Amino acid sequence: MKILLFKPFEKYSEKTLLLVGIFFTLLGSFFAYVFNIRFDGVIDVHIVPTSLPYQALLDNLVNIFCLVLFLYISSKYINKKTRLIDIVNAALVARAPFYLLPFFNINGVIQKATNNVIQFANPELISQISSSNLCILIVFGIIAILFLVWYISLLFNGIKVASNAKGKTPIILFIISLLLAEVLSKFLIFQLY
Amino acid sequence: MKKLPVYCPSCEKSLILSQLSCSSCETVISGNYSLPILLQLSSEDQNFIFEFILSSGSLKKMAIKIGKSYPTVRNKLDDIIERINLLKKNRL
Repeated sequence: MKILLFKPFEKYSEKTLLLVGIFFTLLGSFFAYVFNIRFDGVIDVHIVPTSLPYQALLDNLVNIFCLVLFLYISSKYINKKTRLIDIVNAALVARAPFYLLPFFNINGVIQKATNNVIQFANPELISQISSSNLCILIVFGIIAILFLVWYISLLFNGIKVASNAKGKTPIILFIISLLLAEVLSKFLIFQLY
Repeated sequence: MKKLPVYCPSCEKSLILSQLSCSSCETVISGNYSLPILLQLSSEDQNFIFEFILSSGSLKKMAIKIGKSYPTVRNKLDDIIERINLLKKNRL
């Protein structure tokens, strides 16, 4: 189970990982559209009033492209034998936990709770914030952080296997690549819409 | 199966071969022979090399056979190559 959830790249073939990754990307894009979620950055999840069908898929494609671009460059630097397919698979499969987050906005529950809290986001009105809405947001926040950790650990494990990374340098390069991918994805998504 | 010790349990340096004997006529040969590099590898590494040969040197075939992904198997081979190079270097 640990291998399936955190280290699938050690066990499963590139074809299996690619198919699973594409399946999750399509499914995640569909859920993002249905539950009004935008993945507008490599490590971003935002609840929006409305989401267009092509937006969710385009967001994910931009995010995957940015991740692959920077992680492939850094992985090639670490190990010249690194294959592009392994980096693509790492980016595709690692994002799977993120694609589960839209489920938490069924019936717009998070959106409603956010609107309610924002309405009273004033020092004088803060006592009127509904505790149930606050609880919903706190629980969602914790779950989102856990899923983000899951996503990053999957991604790092994928890169580690793809490039046979060892020591501190790959960790530093991974962090830099992730941050650059975040900046580029934000910029591209902002330019697209 | 008995495991061939390759490192000294006392000082942890590489062991050398000092005696060989024939199980049939009991002839004994004494001398100082260093162990072949392959025997200085761990039994796990030796098994990997054995499986690699049985897979006709195909990492893809081997990956399917042992139920691991291609990069995992390639990484293992790279690590063994690194260890062999280190042993060769130490021998010189």
